[in-house]
Amino acid sequence: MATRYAFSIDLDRCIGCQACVVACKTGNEVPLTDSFIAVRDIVRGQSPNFFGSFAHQRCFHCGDAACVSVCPTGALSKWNGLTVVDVDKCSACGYCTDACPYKVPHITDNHVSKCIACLDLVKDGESPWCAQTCPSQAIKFGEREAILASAKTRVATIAARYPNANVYGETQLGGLGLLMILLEKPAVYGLPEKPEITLRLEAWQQVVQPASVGLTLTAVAVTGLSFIIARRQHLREKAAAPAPAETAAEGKSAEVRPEQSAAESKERKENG
Amino acid sequence: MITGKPYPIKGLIAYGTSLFHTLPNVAHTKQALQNLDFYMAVDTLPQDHVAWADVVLPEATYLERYDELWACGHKTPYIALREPAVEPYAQTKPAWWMVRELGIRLGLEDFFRWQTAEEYLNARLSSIGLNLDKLRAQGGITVQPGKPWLADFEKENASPFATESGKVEFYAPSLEKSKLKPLPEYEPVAEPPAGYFRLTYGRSPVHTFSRTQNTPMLNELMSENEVWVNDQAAAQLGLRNGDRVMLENQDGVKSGPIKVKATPRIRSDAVFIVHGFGHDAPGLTRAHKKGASDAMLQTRYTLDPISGGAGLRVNFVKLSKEA
Amino acid sequence: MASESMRLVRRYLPAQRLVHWIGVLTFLTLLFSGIALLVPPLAFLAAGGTSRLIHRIAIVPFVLLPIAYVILNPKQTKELLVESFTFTRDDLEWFKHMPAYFFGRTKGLPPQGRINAGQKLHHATTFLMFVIVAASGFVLLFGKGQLGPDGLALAAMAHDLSMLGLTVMMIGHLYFTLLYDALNSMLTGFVTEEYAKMEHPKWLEELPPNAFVVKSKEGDQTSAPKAKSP
Repeated sequence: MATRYAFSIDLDRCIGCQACVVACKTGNEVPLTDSFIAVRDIVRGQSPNFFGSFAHQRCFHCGDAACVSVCPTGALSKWNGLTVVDVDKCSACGYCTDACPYKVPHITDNHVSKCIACLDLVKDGESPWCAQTCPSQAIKFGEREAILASAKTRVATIAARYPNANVYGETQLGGLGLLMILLEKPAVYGLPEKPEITLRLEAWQQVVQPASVGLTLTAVAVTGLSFIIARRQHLREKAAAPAPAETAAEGKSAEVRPEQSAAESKERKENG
Repeated sequence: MITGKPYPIKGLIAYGTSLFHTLPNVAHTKQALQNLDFYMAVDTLPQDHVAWADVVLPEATYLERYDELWACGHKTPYIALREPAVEPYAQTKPAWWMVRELGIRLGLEDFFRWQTAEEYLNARLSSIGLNLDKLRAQGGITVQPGKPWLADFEKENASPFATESGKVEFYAPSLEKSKLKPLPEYEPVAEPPAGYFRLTYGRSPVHTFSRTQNTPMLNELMSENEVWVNDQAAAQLGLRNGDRVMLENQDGVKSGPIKVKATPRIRSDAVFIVHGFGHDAPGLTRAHKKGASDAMLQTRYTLDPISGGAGLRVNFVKLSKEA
Repeated sequence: MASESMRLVRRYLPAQRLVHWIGVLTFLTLLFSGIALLVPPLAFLAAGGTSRLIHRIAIVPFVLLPIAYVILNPKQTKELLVESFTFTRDDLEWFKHMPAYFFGRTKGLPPQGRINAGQKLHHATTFLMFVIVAASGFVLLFGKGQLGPDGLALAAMAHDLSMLGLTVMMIGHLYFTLLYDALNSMLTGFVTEEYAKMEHPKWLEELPPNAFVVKSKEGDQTSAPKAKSP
């Protein structure tokens, strides 16, 4: 049975140093103006009684990933719990940028840009760059069950200082591959409590797209078959029709077979 | 350097020291430099003070040079190799080369009988039965058998602390004997004048001192410092996040423009800026003229009479919005 | 009976034929470059952004050429649209005969004008779906990243469904064109009088003399007035 991997980020240990950001960019050779992950600080309240925390903006590696479901080329896919990227397949269509409930993926350099979980390192038995680098050991990586258990233990430990501390990601969207130890309720961090892949997105992917292909193929098949019958019928009809006369005859508005008519030409629109 | 007392200083070598950021009161520093007959700057970066030097020796960075062996004598003593990973950029040189070349020109060849850094380091390492190749094979570091230095004291039943009682002292009779306060007493400090804030400064984990502001990846994460102002105090001044202001201190010295960060994270009688910005050097193309310089604004400082430690958070600034 | 010459009727002007054929080219380009995102086995066409680039280039003539035609021929456009959206009693009668027409029988059809009821329907639906596919495409082109999942789904479904409609109508259009030998009209601009009599007798009756030409065996075309009875 394949391992299900996950990250955890402990926002109590995080010191906002951004070493993870720099390590990620260096290790994955991300172009200068782009980044896979970002760290920002949030603050609520008023000095001296304010709440402050660092917050990470990065791929949550959703169990049910909206980006994977909309990706038309399979550039985004799941591997052992991680949402991974095959850049060569990406068409830069940008569907993922709108589908993601956390607005994580973006398009840079004609391909999707987001945390790739340092797949090469992971396959070699190592941890991603961010987890390796974090000087306060806020970022962990490993087998999901163990990571989740450890995160829950951590929340219990800090509950005295942060009564609203919680693990974000245990059950959301099929269980997230990045478990965030939040110091306050998700809403304080701008995170949705119960995100879901919207019905419209599902309808588009599961119904409209297959139906479009199916109906088109049906139309081709129907017309293809009918043509054989119809053509024969039409040719028969044409053969039975009288040859066009060289001279004009009295025109009459025919019901069955219109004779050649030579009505007075009216002033008509030039449109032939 | 300015007064010539107790004796005049006429020559200065600034080696890897960002004079205009490391020392407070930049105007003062510049005045001191002007009294010199000879001023040489050795640096890896075209820092602000470098432009003032008579002679500039551009140094290769730590990734481009050999350095002295790093001998660390703490709880687990070790000796580490510091060696180049790439060739030096342009005409920059390692310090060992500069020192050797200068030494030879000063008639001190006898002290520089080695030709290359490798020769020198091999000679040193031979004293512990190693050479460069062997040290490299070990991963560049050798942990020496050693014992915690306290063990020596314990053996002789002596104390490592140079106090009369042999213990760490919070109340120091020795100070009392010198007619100084044996236990520090709090003395109220001057409050900011009306319309001014206390200028406090500190660090960001993204940057180191005043030397990384120009580094591309770090510059991208933080390209300038911001002046943290309590959000309610900012609102009273009509300032919003992102507004640019000039900082002017109690002596009329200015620095900026600098972006405002209106935040509840600071009390309303103080402002905070990260140290190391406000570079004047055009050679630091990414950092040039970004943000404000705390060193520039720290024209006053207090010195602790016993330890000589400097208190720099005794300056006050007012904020004026940039047009 | 056949003679050395054939009487032809001008049906489509050069400008109209140009718009039609460039439309065909761009439509098919858009169809196949878009299909890369719809049919998984064809996804390789999209990798690296190839189909995306082709799609974006083809958009320009696809949208601009009809707009240019409208601006340069406002009267004709208005007439075409009015014609295509106006359904008469004869048209309704025609629709009742539609199944027979589908299988090649024109016998029993009420006489048709310039464009028959089926063609009117085709024009009307094509026009509407063109607007929808262009508008939804515009949203997808410029709104990417700001639509959110619902916005994306709605725009994409509108785009998919209108394209489905255009494709099915095109298949039908091809079907009837080939069935009733109408291809020539859009290639040369002319149809034979025989064809006109069979398919669009009411139109034929009302044509001015200069709409007719005589094409000799050698291929010469000379404009000829309709012959009058002596």
